[in-house]
Amino acid sequence: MDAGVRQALLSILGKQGVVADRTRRVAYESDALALMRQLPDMVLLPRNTDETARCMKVLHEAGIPIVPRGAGTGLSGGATPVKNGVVIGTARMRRVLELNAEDQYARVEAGLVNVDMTRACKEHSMFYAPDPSSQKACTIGGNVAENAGGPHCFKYGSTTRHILGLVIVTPEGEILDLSEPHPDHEGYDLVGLFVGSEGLLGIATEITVRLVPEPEVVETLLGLYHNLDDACETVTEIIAAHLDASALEILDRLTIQAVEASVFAAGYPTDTDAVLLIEVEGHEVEVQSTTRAIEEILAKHNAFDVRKSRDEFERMKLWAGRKGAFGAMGRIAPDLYVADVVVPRTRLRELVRRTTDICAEFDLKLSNVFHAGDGNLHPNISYDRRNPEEVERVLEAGRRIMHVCVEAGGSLTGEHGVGLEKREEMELMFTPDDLDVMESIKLVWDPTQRMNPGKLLPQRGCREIRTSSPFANGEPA
Amino acid sequence: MSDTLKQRLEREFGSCDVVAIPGLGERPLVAPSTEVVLCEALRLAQADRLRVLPIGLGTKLSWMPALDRVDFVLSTRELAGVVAYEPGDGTLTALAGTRMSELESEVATGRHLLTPQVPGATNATLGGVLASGQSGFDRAAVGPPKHHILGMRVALADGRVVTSGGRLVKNVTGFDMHRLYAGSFGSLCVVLEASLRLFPAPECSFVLERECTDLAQALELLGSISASKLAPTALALDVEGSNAPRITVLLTGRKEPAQWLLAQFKTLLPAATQLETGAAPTNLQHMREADLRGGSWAGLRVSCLPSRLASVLGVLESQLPQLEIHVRPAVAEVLVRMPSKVSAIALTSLQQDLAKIGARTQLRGTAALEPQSTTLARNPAFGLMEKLRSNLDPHATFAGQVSLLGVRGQTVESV
Repeated sequence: MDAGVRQALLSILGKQGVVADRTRRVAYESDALALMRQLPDMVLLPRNTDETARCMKVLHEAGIPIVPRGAGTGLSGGATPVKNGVVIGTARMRRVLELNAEDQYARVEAGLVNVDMTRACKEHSMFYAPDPSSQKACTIGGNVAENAGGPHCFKYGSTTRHILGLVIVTPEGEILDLSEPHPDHEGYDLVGLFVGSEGLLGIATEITVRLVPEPEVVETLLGLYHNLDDACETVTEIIAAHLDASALEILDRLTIQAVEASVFAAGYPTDTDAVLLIEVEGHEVEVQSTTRAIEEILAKHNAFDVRKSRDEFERMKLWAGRKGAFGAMGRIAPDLYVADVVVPRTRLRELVRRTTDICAEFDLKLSNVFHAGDGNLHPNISYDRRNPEEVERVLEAGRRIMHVCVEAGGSLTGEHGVGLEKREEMELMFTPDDLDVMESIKLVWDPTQRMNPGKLLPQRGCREIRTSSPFANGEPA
Repeated sequence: MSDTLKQRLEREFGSCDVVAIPGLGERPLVAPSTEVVLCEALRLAQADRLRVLPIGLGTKLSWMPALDRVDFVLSTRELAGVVAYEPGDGTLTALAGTRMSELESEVATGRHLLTPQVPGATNATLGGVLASGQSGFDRAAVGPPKHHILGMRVALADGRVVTSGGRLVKNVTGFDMHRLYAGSFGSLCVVLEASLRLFPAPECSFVLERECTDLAQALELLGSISASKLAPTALALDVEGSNAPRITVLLTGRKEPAQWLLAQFKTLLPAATQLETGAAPTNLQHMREADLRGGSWAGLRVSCLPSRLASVLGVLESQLPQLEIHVRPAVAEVLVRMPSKVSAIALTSLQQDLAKIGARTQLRGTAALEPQSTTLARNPAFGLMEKLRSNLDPHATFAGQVSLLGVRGQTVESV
């Protein structure tokens, strides 16, 4: 990097805000999709919107690509650095700027950790609804970029339904203040467009989130099954019966065993083929009524046991097991590939089976833990990235799973984003015209194409252009 | 109106009606029966630099500020029909010209409800409702409609048909272009088809009405409802001149919880009258048509943060000689029936006073009265919005481009 640029950035952020030495930069070479790596030239850690904007201006003038990063928990390579690029992290922007319990919103900095948002409003008996499994680490800003989900998005919806406003720093370093917590947007819904744009349009530095009142009663049930099909059928029927659960999560045998052998042990019986974790919330009468109806469906679909959490501690333990499942997979193999496809909820059982068959065909170790209520599957393939032949099989199986799900009317991603991992599969879902429109929108926000280049939008056109890669060696490491 | 253009459109696209555009007079209306023809009409407009106003059935034409030019109107009313209703998945995909009432009937077969529950559903088309960003009385329960649009297929100004999103309840693939299109009043594209998330139809419902001595008592009762943390499906306050202010509560759900809620609300609203029991469709209809009660009238929609609602009502009460309002407290929204002879100056003054307390206003059906000055140009995002619009419609084929303000109606910002 040019010495003048380096000096300008240092003068804005000071030494604490610039990560320049190689050993520290290595920590930023990938997000949680470790298959794809690239060392950034520099990592910048601004403390607020103003510093972010000043840095972005310097980088704009120097023509340097920028990759925004929250906590790096993303699973699609959305925060993977690019060749000759700079990472801008939000780790030092963690303040709650305003909390308005009466109007049920909060204004926070982008680097605030998801779970800290709910902690901050706990005293007002409110919470922030999107709860990705990585919520103890992931940031609200990262959630905005990916339109993150989580188990309770079945009831409350993904991140986009909870974002009222944003302060965005554009690629040129301009500050766009759309933070007013008003439920109706003025003019076009730029906030709605920005959420889920995967860092391609700018960096959100401040976020106005909607807060939700805590329910009076929460009931957590655990249905135990001798086979995964029955658990899937139970979910399909609960949805068809219009029963208002707040979460419907399935874990299969391999996942249960990994969880129970880990620090996240939740008390799931290890001799079951599947567990269905169900949560119902609301007023007591409502919860009791819904729970009774759900229990009838569980029995009809051969749940051999149904357990209810007896207290908050037990409830939290059951959820710790679910949310720690990805971490627990480390016991199966050193690396984990987490697919993130969505399927029509009426075809849950069929498509879970298809993914199982695909992994069997490629001789891969598959475990399933997924947001069954939303039809959002996470086929998890355990592997060892030091084995290149196995890596090839993992990637091919991942592609096959995406193809099968899209053919069945599904989607490439439900909450992890397209990133680098699925960008070439975008053409399965969208026509060249559809993609042209998305590209043209990107160009309006980012005329010099320096914001998170190479992500989300497929490399199209002639072969020569297709070989252009954001990675030093042409392909991800 | 140019006879030449009408004749030409008739030659190209068959029969051609006319429609009155507020402030401009009559214009030719083309209502293609296929998407191919609709796209041809757009290509013709672009090639000849004609200005097109996309509509459904035109029920919200008066919501837009005066347009400076429209050459012809393009209606999607003939592009109607359900593409896919998936009861097991709780989703619906339909063509833009389908009446909301038809869609409601379709999804009722699977015990689903459509959102938004708009008034006048027999005359409102899906495309028109989504393009106008209209909410219904169900907003308090399920949120604004933009949250439940799963995907859209639209025609761009150059006649290309493009898609965003999909038909699934959860999906983050690609940019959410449909969030940009929804509420853009046809200034970016013509909506051809949309997919929506559906909601369970309630097993039963109850409506309670409570007359209050005055506005102060009504606000006190609404305060006690808010403090109870009980969430009715819908809650409304109607003030109609010298009549007693009236609070209406809609309670829905599974039978047992709904009955329990009813008992709670009877305590919160002593002396309330229960209108009907169990007849969910009738009760829903009662709430839904509230803002059309008394016929179509010129109005002002005011929205604010819940904490400012009492102040907004105070301003309205002090400035309007005879207060006629429909209030949705849970979403802090007030629909104001405007006096038939309000001056532009008085209207501007009212809007400015409301803006000072952080409220936003949108005129409906008052095009002739609209003040000329606009303030959205001060919105910091205006420049970017204009670039987005000109990117999607470089030749300004869509009429809504004249003033970006037009996409949401007259708006006054806080000073």
